[in-house]
Order: sequence, then structure tokens, then C-alpha cells
Amino acid sequence: MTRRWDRAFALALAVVFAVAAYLALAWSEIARLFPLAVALPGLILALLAVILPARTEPAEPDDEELPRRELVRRTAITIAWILGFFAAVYLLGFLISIPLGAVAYMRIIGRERWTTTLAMAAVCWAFIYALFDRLLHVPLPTGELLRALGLV
Amino acid sequence: MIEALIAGLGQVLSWPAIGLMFVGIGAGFVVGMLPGLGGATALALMLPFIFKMQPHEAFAFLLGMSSVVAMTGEITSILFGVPGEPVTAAAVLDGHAMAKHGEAGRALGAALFGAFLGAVFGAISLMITIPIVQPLLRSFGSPEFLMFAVLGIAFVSSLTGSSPAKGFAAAALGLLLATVGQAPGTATLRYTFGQLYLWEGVAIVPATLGLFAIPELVDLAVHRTSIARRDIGALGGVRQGFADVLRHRWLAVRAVVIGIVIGVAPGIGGSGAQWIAYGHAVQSAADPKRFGRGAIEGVIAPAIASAAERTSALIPTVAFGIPGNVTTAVLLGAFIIQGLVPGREMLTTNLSLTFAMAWTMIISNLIAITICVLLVRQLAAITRIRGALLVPPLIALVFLGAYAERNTLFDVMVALAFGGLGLAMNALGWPRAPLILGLVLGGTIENYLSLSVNRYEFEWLGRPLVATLLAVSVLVALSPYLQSWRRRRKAAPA
Repeated sequence: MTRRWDRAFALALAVVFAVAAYLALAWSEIARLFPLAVALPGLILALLAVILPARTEPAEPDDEELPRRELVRRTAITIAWILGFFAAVYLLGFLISIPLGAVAYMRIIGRERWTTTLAMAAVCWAFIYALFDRLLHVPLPTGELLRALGLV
Repeated sequence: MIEALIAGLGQVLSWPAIGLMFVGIGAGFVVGMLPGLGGATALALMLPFIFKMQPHEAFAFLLGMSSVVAMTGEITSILFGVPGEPVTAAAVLDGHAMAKHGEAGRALGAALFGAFLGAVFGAISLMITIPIVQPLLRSFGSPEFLMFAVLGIAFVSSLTGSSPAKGFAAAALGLLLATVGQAPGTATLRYTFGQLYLWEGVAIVPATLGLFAIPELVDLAVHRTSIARRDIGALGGVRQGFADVLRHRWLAVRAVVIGIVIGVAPGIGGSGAQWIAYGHAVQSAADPKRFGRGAIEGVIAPAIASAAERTSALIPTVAFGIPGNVTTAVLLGAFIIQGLVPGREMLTTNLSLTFAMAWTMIISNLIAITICVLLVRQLAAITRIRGALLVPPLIALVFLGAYAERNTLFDVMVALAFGGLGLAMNALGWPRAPLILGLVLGGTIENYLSLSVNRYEFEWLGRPLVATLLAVSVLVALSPYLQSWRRRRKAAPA
């Protein structure tokens, strides 16, 4: 199963190198020299990785080895949470979405108590506000949704 | 010269310079531990404050801050697997693996002591080499600097793990990604696909954060445990970390040399230095398979090289006004603000100020390591906090780290894309270090290649130092395979 994905990854990489080399052909000699010098050997190496038998090293022994199905399920859930955090940042900005996301994550995934959850969310908010907004004056995005609604 | 050395120390210890240095160290602590906010960004933010300071006060403040960044950046990398600085990303591989095994204190001790030694020896090299470095560096041109970068990329062979094809393909991908944006010396836009954001190329900070931090973050969330999954030994272990550095003293010496050489040669920078030192540590180890699973040498070598690079990068800055890395490029702004001209003046009339800079770096690192050692038990205790409490703040740190350098959400998207790539590479046994080394060195190699070909066509290949460095690069690239062949030959029955 992993070997099939490994081959698919190597093949995808080979396609990237082939497309990169093809696009480079349209540029001037000086602009295409380095991309071609990298993409062509890269293509050969990626194809070698497709063909050659994999010599995979044994994975690091884990105290709590999860069944593969559960591992994949939890990984997918975590990726969804990370993407959800990003969507929230895009729509609501950092100052609202990070404490909000922290509360949601700690309650739903961590099943933490409300007091711990709210205290942690408050610390996250205070840290971002004090350091990035007040002290360093990093222009934090205000959120597209809030802007569209005319709230900021 | 001795008088200038003592006068320089006096300048640093005078009031208010020493007070300003403490303020700088405090800021450097925070900046180092926060991903994305690099030393260069922090320096740029602080430049407006130095207008009314005397030169020695200004440099005590700025260098006090920038020289501890590499040290404290190791803390975030080891404890959370989130690179505090791009120059401390290598610590994620073995340092964070040690933290997972309950050896956070030992890893922190080794990294902090290593960073301290690297900074001190880098500063000493500044003191010693200033008089001789001018004629030496003048004999170098773009072909020699190109070869230093090529030598750096040759260390990929030590980072490929069990599959050279995968490792070199990952390095090629890194080099290819480094070509995104405007081609050097031309107006050609490469692989930008009509996106204005890509004109500046792929940013190193979000790429590093995504590639290394997101897989660790996912791992923590998936296992729903604390970072330290095994409860072995005391939280401290810092003394053992110190002892580890002394035990691997020859590796430490070689890492210092790598750091100093890269610091003096402009372009490669601390990100390259740490990976080259890591590659060298793998290459020189008796059992390279331990690396990536908690090998202490994998913590020591990059920490030392990165810190030594940071301090020795001041050598070409002071001697010629050529910045060795991004941080010293910003520092050149401080020279201009203070009305100082890098070059002969800094080595004659302002020699005591040059020594004051070196002293600042030594003293600030001494103060920083003292504070870190006092706090190390508390810091290591973080690895025992429940994962559910750490995941949201770590996601915030990764996002803010990716965003803060250029203030664009596109950088967060780049971090997410590299996070996906890092997850896939991790799961399928593709090494990530060669990719980041290729990305870091790609721009430097292409720039110097373009300059060399434009100026000398291909005659530069015959220059003695170029030929020597090329031969050394080939040897370095082949070395792991030669070693493995020799081991097999020894093991084979006669």
C-alpha cells in the first residue's frame, strides 16, 4: 500500500520536473540555464525512485502505535482542523479566530473543562494582541467576512 | 591592538551600553522563540531607536538582540518541533525526537551550550581574523563563492537516508523551487503563473515552518498525548547535554569551522550552515542510521554552526561592508545611521568599536545561556502538557510565524502547502532536509553562477581555488558511498 503511494509520489515529482523543464524551454538562454540544469537530473532521479525497489527504514518505534485505519482517520481530522483554522483566520482575522478555534478544539477534541479552555483561549488572545498588535505593530488581517459585513 | 581590545570591553560594560544590551537580550529571547520573527526582522524594527545612541550603545543593543536569537530559537525547535528560526530548523529532526523520548533537558542543554560555544568562537574569530581577512577575501570572486555554495549542496549526499535517488530528487525539487520568481539579471518571470506574489520567489520562513512544524503538529494531535511520550529520566538532563558537547568536541570544532567559513562567505547564511553541519555530523558518525531519531550529534553540530555563522558573518560586514547574511545586511543600515563606514576605518580608528561588537556577542550569549539554564527545567516541563492544550497555540504560532515576516496570508498558504508536502514526505520515507537545503542554496548558486559566466564565461573553472573546492565537493558527495563500500568490504569474509 505504502509502496504504491511512494511510487505515485515519485511519479508526481517526475511530472513536476518534466513540466518545469518544458516551461523553461520558452525562456532566454540565461533564464533557462539553471532551471533546466536542475529539472532534467531531477526528472531522472524521480523516475529512478519510481523504478528502484524502496529500501524503507523501519519507522521509529512508538509507545502508542495506533492501528493504521485510526491513524489515517485522526490525520484527516487534524488536517481538517488546521484548514478550518486557516479559513477562520481568513474570514474573521487572527484576533477572533485563534481564541475561537482554541475553544472549539479544546472542547471537541480535547474534552477539556470550560475553565481550562477559556483560560487558554484568553491567554492566546492576550499574547497575540499584546505582542503582535500592540508591541510589534504587525498589521494583522481583520477578516474578509467582517470587512464584507462592514463591521471593521 | 590589546589596548583596543580592552577599550572595546570597557565600552560594552559602560552605562548605558550594558543596560541597552540587556534590553536587546530580552527582545532577542522573545524573537528567537517565536517562529517567523527572525533576527533580521527584529533588527529592522529596532533601527529607528538607535538614532540618538552612541555607536557602541547602538551595537550593544542590536547585537545583544541578534546574537541570542539563534540560541533561543533552538528552544522552540526542540520542544515543539516548530522551528523558532529558519536557522534552527535542523534541531527539529533530532532535538524534537529527543524531546518525544523524554530527553528534552538533555537536548536543550546540548543545543544551548553548542550555540553558546558557536557564538563565542565566531566572535573570537572576528577578533583574530580581522587583520588578515581583508587580503584573503579580496582574492575571492563570484566563482569561489559559487563553489562554497556547491560544496554546501554536496552535503545532500549525507542527508539522503537509505534512498539516494529520493534524497537527490528532493534536493533538486528544492533547487527548482528556488528558481521561482524573476531570473537574475533578466526580466524573465519563471514559474509565477501570473501571480504577483510569486515574483519574489518562495519565501524560506513559511516553507521551513510548513515542512517541519506542520508534520510535528499533526503527529502531536493524532497521538493525543503530551510531546514527551516516554517518561524516562529526569526533566533536567541539561548537564548531560553539556557533557555531550564536550564528548563530541572534535565534531564541535568542525562545526565551528563550518559556521565561520560560511559566515565569511556571503550568500549561504545560517540556514545553509546548519544543514551542512548536520550533513557533516551524519557523514562522520559511526552509525548514520541513528540520525532523525534522536542522535545528540544531530543537535550539537547544527546549533554550533548556526551560531558561529551568525557571529562570524560580521567579518565581511565590518571589513568590506559586504553582508554575510540577511541579519548583517540590516545591520549595515545601523552603520549608516551611526555615520560609520565599514572597511579600513573599522580596522584602524574604530578598532575598539569592532572589538566592542565581538565582546557584546560573547557577553550577551553568556547571559542568555545562564538564563536558559536557570529556566530549562520549566521549559522542558512544557513537553509534559496535554497535547490538546498545546495544539491550538502551536497552530497560531505557525500561522503567525508564516504571516509576520511579509504580512501576507499567501505566506500562510505556502506554509500549508509545504505542510502537506512535509506530511507526505514523512509518511513515505522521503528526506525533507535535502529539499530545504536546495531551497536555501538555490538562489545563491544561481546568482553566483550567472555572475561567473557573465564575467569570465567558463574560464573560471580553471581557477586553482575553484578546482580545489570542486574536487572537495565531489569527495564530499561521494564520501557516504565510499564509506559504505569500505564497511561492506571489511564485513565481507576474506
